[in-house]
Amino acid sequence: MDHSASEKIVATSHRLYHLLLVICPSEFRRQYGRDMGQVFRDRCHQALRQGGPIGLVEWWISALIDLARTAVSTHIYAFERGDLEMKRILLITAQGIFGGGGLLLLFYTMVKRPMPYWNAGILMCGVIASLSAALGLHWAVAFRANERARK
Amino acid sequence: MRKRKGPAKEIDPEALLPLTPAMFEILVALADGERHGYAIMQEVELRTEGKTRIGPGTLYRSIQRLMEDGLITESDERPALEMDDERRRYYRITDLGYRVAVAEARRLSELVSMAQAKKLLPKTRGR
Repeated sequence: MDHSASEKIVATSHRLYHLLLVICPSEFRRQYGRDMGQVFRDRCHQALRQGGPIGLVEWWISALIDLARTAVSTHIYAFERGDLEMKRILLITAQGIFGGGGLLLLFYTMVKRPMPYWNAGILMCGVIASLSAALGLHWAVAFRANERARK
Repeated sequence: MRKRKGPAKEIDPEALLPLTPAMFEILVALADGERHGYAIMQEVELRTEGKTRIGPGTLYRSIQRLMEDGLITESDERPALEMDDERRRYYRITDLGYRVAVAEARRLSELVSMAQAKKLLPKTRGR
């Protein structure tokens, strides 16, 4: 693989990893996100040099597992320290409940159709999807405001 | 979460034990000089012959906790100009960090002795 192609692959990987860091708490990301990205990129170069594309895929898999573990433990840690606002936790939980409920209802309406008439199912889905979207929007606005305040 | 009381000198290193494997590896990597994140990662991999690999998430999660417990600190001093990478943050072990690393090493050594006494491990020669 020529140098410019491998540089492109590493740069794309780095950008993608940076995007995925969004699953970590904002405080942790603010403190260490840049450094994590840098280490990830350096390790990508090493993996490509030593193992070629397969080496890079292996590194990606282990980095994703590591990132998922880190996200869970840093969220728990932030929760223990009281960094997360209760409002945000409630919003995320409610969004999960409504989102999950909406998907389940959609499945029953479209596949099983237990409602007395088809339109009732659609109406319910619409209400739940709107609620979920409203909560999501609210969370996104609050999140942006929080990020701006930190900067 | 472990709570510290008072200044670093008064803290009993035993109170901060046991360390996670990653935290201990980082302290060992920093025991002989300051390093940046990627250098810590490489040192751990090299020392354990690739058996232990610390991912970026685990590395910085552990660094965060070690910093909060006062076991490591960000270094202000920079290495020689030709070796320095301005983009990177260097870390060094604190006195408390050193004492905690020693206490953890002693704890692990006692565990090994116990395993040897129970014949789970052969006794090391020259001891």
